[in-house]
Amino acid sequence: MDNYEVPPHIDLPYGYMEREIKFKLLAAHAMVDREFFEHLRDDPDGAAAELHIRLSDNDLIYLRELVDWDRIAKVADDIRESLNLEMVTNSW
Amino acid sequence: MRPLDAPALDVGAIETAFDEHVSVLPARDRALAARTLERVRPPNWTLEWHLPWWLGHAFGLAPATSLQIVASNVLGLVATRLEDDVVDSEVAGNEVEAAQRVSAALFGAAVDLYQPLFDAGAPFWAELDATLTAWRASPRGSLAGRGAPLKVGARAICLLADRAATWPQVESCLDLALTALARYDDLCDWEADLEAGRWNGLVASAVAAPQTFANRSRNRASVLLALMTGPAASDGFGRVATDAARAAALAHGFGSTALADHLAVVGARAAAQGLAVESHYVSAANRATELIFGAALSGGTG
Repeated sequence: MDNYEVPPHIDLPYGYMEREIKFKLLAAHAMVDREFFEHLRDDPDGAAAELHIRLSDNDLIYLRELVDWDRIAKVADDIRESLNLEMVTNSW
Repeated sequence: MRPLDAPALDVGAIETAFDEHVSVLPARDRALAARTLERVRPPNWTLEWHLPWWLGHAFGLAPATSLQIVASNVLGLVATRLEDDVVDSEVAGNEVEAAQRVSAALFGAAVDLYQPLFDAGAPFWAELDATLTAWRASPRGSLAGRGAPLKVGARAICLLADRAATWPQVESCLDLALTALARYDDLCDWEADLEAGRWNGLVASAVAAPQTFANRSRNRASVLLALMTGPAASDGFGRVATDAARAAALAHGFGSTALADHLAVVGARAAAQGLAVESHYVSAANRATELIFGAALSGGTG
């Protein structure tokens, strides 16, 4: 192929992708299950363990001390609303 | 897109034939039949309306005969819809009896339309009885249940056009097409099915728990999770596309370009919709991840 280009190499730190997948699972669960959202907020270690996920100490500190859960709770409802399939199929 | 190899079906003629058949019913029953007909019109019910017309044209059958079989299909479709509505409790309590009465009348009219087409001793009648008996005995929502009425008309076309030898290919094509359409319905209707406590294929692929009313919240979360974090949408719609494409190839093989074109469009549309649905849910998952973990991710490996 004439137009083939080698994609640029992105130098992600070791473990980045695994961590991203863990976060995506936790975040997706928090969107589809309000109880899990509250569990993650109140007890991130226990909530992660529920999904057989182990978080690092730094990530636990981040979830306990740095995340603005009240702000996230408000935005999360918009995401939950968008999960209704009609939001996609209405345009068909 | 109207397929090129067959003239357009005269939908108006079919509606007129339908009106004639229901004209013998009391006014209230006629109104119920008319309302139900409105719910099963093309384009959502294209195959039910057009299959005999397309096959009849491809196999050289007189248009008037094909139209008669289309009319039978539509009468049967409305009868089945009413029956399903009663079972699903979607008919008001004071209309249940009328729905059952209209369904029985239309079903009888659908079968009667074959009377002038086949001799009393023709094997078609035994086949019809066997098909309808199997259909009645099949679980609701099963492929056999959905496919039997369509197959009766297609089988009649093959016999009347002296194309009985082509039936195995036609039946295989319909099995694939019906599988694709049933799967497509499951993908689009999973939330409604879950709420109503109806079995749904997409839900079954995502959850191990029984699909009961009591489990619906947990099951809904599991399906959404599968859509957000896995290939459930592209897999499901992709299988619709694959089966529709295989059915289209079979239709090409037995000479119905119109049917093949329709199935190819169904397949291509499903493939595109699968990508759109997957993109939507993956995007929601990414937004959620960014929302909760954005700062942590940008801060390194933790």
